[in-house]
Amino acid sequence: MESTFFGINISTSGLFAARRGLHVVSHNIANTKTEGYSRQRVDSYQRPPFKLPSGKGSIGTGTESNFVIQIRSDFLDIRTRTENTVLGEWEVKEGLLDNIDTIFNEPSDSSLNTSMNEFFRSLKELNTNPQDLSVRALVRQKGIAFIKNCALVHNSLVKLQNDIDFNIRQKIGIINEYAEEIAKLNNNIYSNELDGSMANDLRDQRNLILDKLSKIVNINYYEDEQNKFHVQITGQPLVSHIFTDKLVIKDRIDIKNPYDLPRLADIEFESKSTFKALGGEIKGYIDMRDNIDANNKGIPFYIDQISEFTDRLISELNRINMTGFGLRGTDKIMLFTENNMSTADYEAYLMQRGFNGKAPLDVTDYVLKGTDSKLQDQENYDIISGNIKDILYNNPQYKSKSIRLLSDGRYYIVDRIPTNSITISKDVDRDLSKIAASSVAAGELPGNGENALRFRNIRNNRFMYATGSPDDFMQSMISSIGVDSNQAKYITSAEKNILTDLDIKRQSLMGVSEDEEVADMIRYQHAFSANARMVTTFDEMLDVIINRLGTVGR
Amino acid sequence: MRVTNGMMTNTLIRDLNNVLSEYEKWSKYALGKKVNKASDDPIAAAKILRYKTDLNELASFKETVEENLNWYDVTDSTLKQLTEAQKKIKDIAERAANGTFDAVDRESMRSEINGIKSHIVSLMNTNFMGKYIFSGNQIDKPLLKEDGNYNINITDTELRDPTSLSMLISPNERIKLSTSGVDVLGVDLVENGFSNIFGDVGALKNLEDKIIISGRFDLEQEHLGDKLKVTVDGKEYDVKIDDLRGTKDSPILETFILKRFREAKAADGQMLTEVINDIYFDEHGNLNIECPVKDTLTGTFDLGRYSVESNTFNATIIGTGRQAKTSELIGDFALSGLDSNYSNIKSLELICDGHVGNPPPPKYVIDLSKFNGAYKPIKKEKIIEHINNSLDENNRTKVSDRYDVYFNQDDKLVISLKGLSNEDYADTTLRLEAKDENGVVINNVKGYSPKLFRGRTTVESDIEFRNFVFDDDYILKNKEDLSKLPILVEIGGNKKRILLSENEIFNNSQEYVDALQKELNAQFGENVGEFQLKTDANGQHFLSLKTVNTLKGNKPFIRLEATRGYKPAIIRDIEFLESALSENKQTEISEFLDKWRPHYERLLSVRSDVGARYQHMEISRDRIDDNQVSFKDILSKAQDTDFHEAVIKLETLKNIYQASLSAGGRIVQPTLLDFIK
Repeated sequence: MESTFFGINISTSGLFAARRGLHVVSHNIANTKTEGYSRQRVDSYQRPPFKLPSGKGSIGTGTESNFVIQIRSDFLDIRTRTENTVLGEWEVKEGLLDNIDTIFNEPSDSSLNTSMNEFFRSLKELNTNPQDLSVRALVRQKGIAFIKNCALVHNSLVKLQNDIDFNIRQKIGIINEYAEEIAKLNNNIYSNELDGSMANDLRDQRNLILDKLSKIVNINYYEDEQNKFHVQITGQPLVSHIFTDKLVIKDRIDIKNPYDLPRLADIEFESKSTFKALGGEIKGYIDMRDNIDANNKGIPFYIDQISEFTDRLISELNRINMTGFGLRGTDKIMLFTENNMSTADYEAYLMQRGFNGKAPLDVTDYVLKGTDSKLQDQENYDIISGNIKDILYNNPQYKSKSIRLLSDGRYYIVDRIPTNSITISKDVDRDLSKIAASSVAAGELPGNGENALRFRNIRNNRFMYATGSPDDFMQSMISSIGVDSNQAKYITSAEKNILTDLDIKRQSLMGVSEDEEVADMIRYQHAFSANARMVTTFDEMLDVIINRLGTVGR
Repeated sequence: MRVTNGMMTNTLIRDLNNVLSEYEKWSKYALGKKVNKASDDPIAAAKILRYKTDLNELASFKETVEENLNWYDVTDSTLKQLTEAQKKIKDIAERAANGTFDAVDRESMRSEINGIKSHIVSLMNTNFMGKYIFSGNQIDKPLLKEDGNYNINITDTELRDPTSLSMLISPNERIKLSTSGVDVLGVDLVENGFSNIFGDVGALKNLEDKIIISGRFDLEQEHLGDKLKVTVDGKEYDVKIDDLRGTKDSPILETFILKRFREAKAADGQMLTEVINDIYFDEHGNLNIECPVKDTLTGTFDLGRYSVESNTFNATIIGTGRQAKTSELIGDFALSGLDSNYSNIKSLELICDGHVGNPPPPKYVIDLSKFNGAYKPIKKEKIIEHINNSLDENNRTKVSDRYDVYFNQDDKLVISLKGLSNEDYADTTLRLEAKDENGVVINNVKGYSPKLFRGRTTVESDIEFRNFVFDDDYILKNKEDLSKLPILVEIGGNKKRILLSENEIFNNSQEYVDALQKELNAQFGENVGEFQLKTDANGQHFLSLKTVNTLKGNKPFIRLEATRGYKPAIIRDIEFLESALSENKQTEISEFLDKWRPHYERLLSVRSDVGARYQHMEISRDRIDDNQVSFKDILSKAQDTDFHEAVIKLETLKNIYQASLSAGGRIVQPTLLDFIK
C-alpha cells in the first residue's frame, strides 16, 4: 500500500529533475560562444519501482537525475589533434617557403637573374670594346651589383634563420606554459572526480589546451587506470599527472651546417631526455632552420645552393681571369676574393688556412686529367670544368668546397667563400686594366677581347654544375623553390579542408544549438509546471481527504 | 546530422573567406602579371627566366650587330674612297705615260700624287668610335705613320694571320669584324736575315718522364704458366695467369692479360696499379708497363723485369726497362700566306739523324706543291692527313708509321718520332729540309738533341737558336733590326714579349745578351731563365735560353717575332711613281702601271669580302629581329595576364560574393527564440 504522500514525492523528484535540466540549459546557453565548450545534458533515469503485493505489478516512484554529462567524441578529438599536428607543420613551412620565394623574388625585374643577365651583358660589351675603360668600369660595377645581390639573398636567408630560431624559443615557452596548465588542471580534475563524478568544465579546458598544443608539437595522451592523465611528445613524457618535465633550450655549440648562425637553439627535456618532434609547428620550424639535404629542404639548403652557385661562378670567372691577359700583360689576378683582399693576400691566406683551417689540397693532376695539348682550347677548358665538377660532386668530403686555380698554375681544393663575404678583389678595385679581356700576351693588342668572350661563355658552360650551366642551375633552383612552396600550399590547404570537415563533425556533436536549448528550456519549463500541477493535484486530493472527508458526521 | 547555429555561421564565414581570397588572387592578376612568385606556377616561372635570359642575349647580340653594320658602312665607304684615290693615281700615271710634259707639269702631277698619298694615309687611319678600323687588334694605334710607313709591327704572325677583331653575333657564330690594313695595302717585304720558313727557331727539349718496361706474350700458347712476377722498385708483384689458355685458332684476348696485371698485388697487399702509370699493349703487340720517374732517374728506380716461375712459360722476349724519349720537331706551318713567300718551296724532307735504332726512320718527302695558302687558310686536318700520307724515298712506308703528327695547343705543328726501342737517343735529331723545284735546299729548320728531363719538380731546359750566328759582326750589322726584334717567351703559362727598350745600346753580342737578360728579368719579375751565348761544334756562336727551376711541369717555349716589313707595298709603288715623275723616267712610269694592277685587284677582293660580310650581318640582324618578336610573344603568353579572362572572372567572383552575402543574411537571422514569447 502506497503511503499518503507517495504521489507528492514522485512529483517532487520531477520538479527537481526539471529544475536541474533548466540549470544545465542555462549553462549551455551561457556558454554558446565559449571556445572549446562542449554541450552538457542531464542524464536522468526512473527511480526503482515500488512492487505491489500479490503479483499486481509495480508502480513507478518518479525520476532521478543522475550525472550531468558532456557530449564529446574522443575519436573526433584524436583525429582533430593528429591533423592539427600536420597542419601546424605545413602552415609554418608554407609561410617560410613563401618568405624564401619572396627573397629570391623571381621572376621579376629586380631579381638575381636580372642582375646576372646585366653582368653577362657587360662582359659581352667588354668583348666588343676591351680597351674602353668605361666598359671595364661597367663590368666591375655590374659584377659588384651581381655579387651584392647574391649576398643580399644570402643575408636575407640568414636573417630568416635567425627569426625562425627566435620563434622556436618562443614556442618552447608556450609548450611549457601549456604543460604547466595541464598539470594544474589534472590536479583539479582528479580531486573533483574522486567521488566518481565528472568535472566536465575542467575537462573542456584541458581538451582546449590539448587542441592548441597538438598544433605546436606532436603529442599523444592517455588516462591511466587510476584516472591520472599523461601527455607525451614522441614517447617522452611531458606531463605525468601533476608533474611536468619541461623543455629547455641549449645553445648549440657545434655548428651543424656550414653557413649556420652560431648558438642556435637545441631542445631537450629538463630530465635530459632527447626531444624529437615528429610534427607540429616546432617540426616545421626546426626542419626549415636545420635541413640541408635536398629531400627535405630547409634554409641551409638554399644558402648552400646560393653559395654553390656564386662560388662556382666566381671560381670560373677567376680561373678565366687568371689565364687571360689584362691591358698591361699578364697579371694573374682574381676578379673576386674574400673581404676585398688582394689576390696575393687571398692566396697567401688560402695556402695557409684555406681548407678547414689547414693548407689546401693540390688536385691539379685530377683536374687536368684528360686534357690534351692536341685539343682545342675550349675543349680543354670544358674538360677541366667537367673534372672540377666531378671531383666536387662525387666526393662527399668535398661537399661545400671549391676548387681554385692559383697563380702558381695549380688547382687546389679550398673552402668556399660565403656568398655574403665575396667582394671584388682589391687589384681590380684599384686598377681596371687588370680585368683580363685579352687572350694574347702583353699590352700590344688592346683590341683583343677573346678572353672576355670566355667570361661570357661561362653562362653556356654545361659542365659547371650538376644541373648544367649557371642558367640551368638558377632555373632549377627557382623552380624547386616554387615547387616546394606550392607543395606546402597544397598540403596546407588539404589539411585545412580535413580539419574543417572534422570541425563540422565535432561542432555537430558538441556545439550548442540555440534552437535546441530553447526547445529544451520550454520542455523543462513545461515539465516543471506539470509537476507543480501534479503537486497541486495531490494537495487537492489531501485537501479532500483531510478537510472534506467525513464532514457528514460533523 | 545535427546542425547548430554556430556551425552555420562558421561555415558561412569560411565560405565567404574562400570567395574573397580567390577574388584577391584574381584582382592581383588583373593588375599585373600572371606569375608574380615562383610558387604561383613553378614551371612557368622557370620558362619565364629562360625567355628573359634569351631576350637579353638577343638584345645584346642586336647591339653588336647594329654596331658591326655601322663599322662595315664606314669600312666600305673608306675603301670606296681608296678605290677612287687609286683610280686617280692610275689616271695621272696613264696621262704621264702617254704624253710629254715639262718639269712644271710633272711637278704638279707629283704633288697631286703626293696629296693623294696623304689622303690614302688618312683614309687608312680612319677612326670609328675611338678605334682605328684597319689596325687589326691594335685598335688604339693608327695603321700608318704620316710618312706612309706602317705604324704597327708587321711580324711573321701578322703576315700569316693578320690580327683582326671578330665579334660574336650568336652563341655559336663569330664573324670577322675588321679588315686588315695589311690585306688592303700589302707589305713591302724586307729581307733582314730573320725570315725563315717555319717561324720558330728554338724548340723545346724533350720532357718525357717515364720508364717503360716492355715484353711479349705468346698469345697462342696453351699454357703460359702459373705465375708471373713484376718487380718495380725492388718490390715484387704477383700476376696470376694460370687460367689463361690460348690456341692458334683462339688466342688469349689481350684484355684478359691486362686484367690479370691490373689485379696484381704485392705481398703487403699493394696493388701493382698504384705504382705504375699505365699498362697497355702497343701497336707492335708488346706489353708495356709505364712507371713514373722519381726525383732522380738513376739509382732509386730498379727497373722491372718479368721473371718466370713455371717452366712452361714461353714468352718470347723478357722485357727490360728503358727510358722513353721522343724526338719532336715543333714549328709553325703557314696556314695562310699573302703573296706566299714560300711559293718557291716545292717539297719538304723529313730527316732523322743520329738514330741508332733498327731500322732507322727513312727520309720522308712531303710534297708541298698543293699548299698555296693565298687567301684561304688551309685546314689543319688536311695538313696532318697530307703529311701522314707522305711516303719515304722508296715508297715503302708512310710518315704515320714512324711519326706522330699533330697541332699542339699553340697551333704549332709537332712532328714527333714514335716507337723507340733502344736506349740511347741522345743524338737523335730531326730536321726538315725545304727544297725547290730543282731539288736545291733553300733553307732548313733545325731540330734539337733531346736530353733527359729529370724529375718533375725541377725543369731544366735549354732552348737554342741555331738559325743565327750570334757573333759580334752579326750583332753590329743587324743592330737596328735586333733592337726591334721581339722574342716571345712562354714559361709556366706566362707569355711575355722580350723587346729591348729603344735607347738600349749594345756593341757586341755579349752586351746584346745582357740586355735581353735584363729585359727578361724585368718582364718576369724573377729569375726564370738565363740567356747564354754558346758555341757549337763548328765554332759558331748561337743564343740559348736556359730555364732553371721553373714551375712544375710547365714547358717553356720561345719564339722570335721578326719585323718583316715597314712599308705598305702600295706606298712603295706610289713613291716609285713620284720619283719616276720627278726624275722624268718614262719607262719607269709605264712599269708603274703594271705594278699598279695587283693593288687594284687586291682592293677589289677585299671590298667584295667586306660586302659579303655586310650581307651576312644584315641577314643576322633580320634573324635576331624575328627571334626577338617571337620570344617576346612567348614570354608575354607565359607571364602576362589575359585581361578578358581576368575581368570576366572578377565580375563572376563579385557576383558570387554578393550572392553569398545575401544568402548569409537569410541563414543567420532566425532562431527559435524569435518565435516564442
